[in-house]
Amino acid sequence: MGVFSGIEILFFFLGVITTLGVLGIIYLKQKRQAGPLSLFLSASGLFLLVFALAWSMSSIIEHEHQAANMGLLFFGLPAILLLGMAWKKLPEKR
Amino acid sequence: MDSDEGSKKDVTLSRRKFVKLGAASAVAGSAMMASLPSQVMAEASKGITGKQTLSSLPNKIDNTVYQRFHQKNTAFCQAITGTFPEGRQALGMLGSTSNELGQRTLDKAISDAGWYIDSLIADGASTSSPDTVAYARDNETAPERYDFSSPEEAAHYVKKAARFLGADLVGITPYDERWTYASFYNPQKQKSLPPDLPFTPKSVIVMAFEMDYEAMTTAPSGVSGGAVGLGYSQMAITGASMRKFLTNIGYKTFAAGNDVALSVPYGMAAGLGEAARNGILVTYEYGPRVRIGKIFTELDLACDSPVSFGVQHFCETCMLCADACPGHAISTEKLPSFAVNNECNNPGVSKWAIDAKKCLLAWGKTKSDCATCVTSCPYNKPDFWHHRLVDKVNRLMPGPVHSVMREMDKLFGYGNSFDKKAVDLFWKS
Ligand code: SF4
Ligand code: SF4
Repeated sequence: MGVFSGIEILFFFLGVITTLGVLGIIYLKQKRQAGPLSLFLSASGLFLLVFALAWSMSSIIEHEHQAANMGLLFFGLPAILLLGMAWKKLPEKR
Repeated sequence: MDSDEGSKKDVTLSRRKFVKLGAASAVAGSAMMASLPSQVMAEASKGITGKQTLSSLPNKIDNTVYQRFHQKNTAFCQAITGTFPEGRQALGMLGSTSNELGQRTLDKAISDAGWYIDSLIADGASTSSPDTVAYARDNETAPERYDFSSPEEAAHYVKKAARFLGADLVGITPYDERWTYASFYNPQKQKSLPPDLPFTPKSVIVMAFEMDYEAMTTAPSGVSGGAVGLGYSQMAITGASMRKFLTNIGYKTFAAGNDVALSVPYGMAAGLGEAARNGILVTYEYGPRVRIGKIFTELDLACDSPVSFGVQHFCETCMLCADACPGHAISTEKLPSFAVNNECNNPGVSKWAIDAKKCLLAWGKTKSDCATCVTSCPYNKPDFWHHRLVDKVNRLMPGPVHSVMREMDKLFGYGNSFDKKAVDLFWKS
């Protein structure tokens, strides 16, 4: 993109994803009456997901592709598991 | 030597293991945090920066044994003069080419190009030739001095100038005669010289020059040799430019590459990093992927202090460089000691002594200036946020966790050496 470096673009999009994630958690609390456990799991899952994306994209920028894959595995997979658990803990839709 | 030696084994994971690992890593992360000792947690809660300032060098020095080192005892000088003939033969192999990736004419051409400026103005600083264009000692000094209001102000301006002129890291330490060679030696002219300096310096400005990360991932190869050479060339350019800057403002100054004095103790004393198992200065910003240049000046400058960010502690468990070294030249003793290998080591300092002769012989076998111990080190990472984070976590962790960190580093694909794909990737990226 010329003007911005890879890491600047990465952190811009991470900001967007974090904002959307926080809005999602607010939605879960207000519209889906998510309990404290579900909120905790979704917040942890969001944190890990953002971390996994940040790690992996940073690794791609520095041409360390194995580190990028392992980052998704080590941080991304637990993030998905936590988000899945958070989803399961949501009260039924009325 | 097997050219695949030290290479990273391919990591293959079944899908089942993949999921298990993912789940396990979530649990392991929380368990690690829970297992942090309380004093470590207290340190963390104070807002640790990762670097701790020390009042003196961390290495024990036995003053009853320690004597200044004679430059002619370096493996390089011995090889060039012929007192170490196998070493001379090994040096002769560096320019040879083959069809192997990393050894082609193309790869050796970039190596030669990296060294080019150094060979023009510093006469191969890695062999410590004194009195070259870049490292001349008797220099004209402007008669009028620019006066700084304090050593702190002077240090600020000097550091700014050094960074502007090409240094990546700059630290300052008082002149310490212990690290000056007991006698100088010009290997090109095969001549011993008295250790006379044109003046007694007050301060030593120590500069570190980063070597390209991607090029170094190809080690040992002509490409990594180019990165090493470029480091030396930049060191000579910045050294000469800094000398010009300081003599222009009226202070006697000379620059040095590997000549005049030992670089690692000066780098440590100036707060640039810690001495590691691989015998190299490991810096906080670039790990061991640096070259070190020195500026000796009569200007009184505010000095920096030695630092620690846990390198020596991590080295006790890590040993990745020793495992990867094709010359088996790196100590595998757990703790640093006063043991030496031969006359290339200076007795009286507790450290992990490198066997410089074995190292040089491995250069001949790999037909390169090797640097596998730089590439394989977990501190050799680009200056990216996630590596800084891991460094900080490492520092907080007790010793046994370092073994896990060492394995994780390999699992994440860092520190490969003898990796032919890296050469291809370098040229095609
Ligand atoms: S340069 Fe190569 S041979 Fe020498 S110590 Fe390092 S890894 Fe070993
Ligand atoms: S590879 Fe490991 S043991 Fe060797 S210098 Fe680096 S941290 Fe220390």
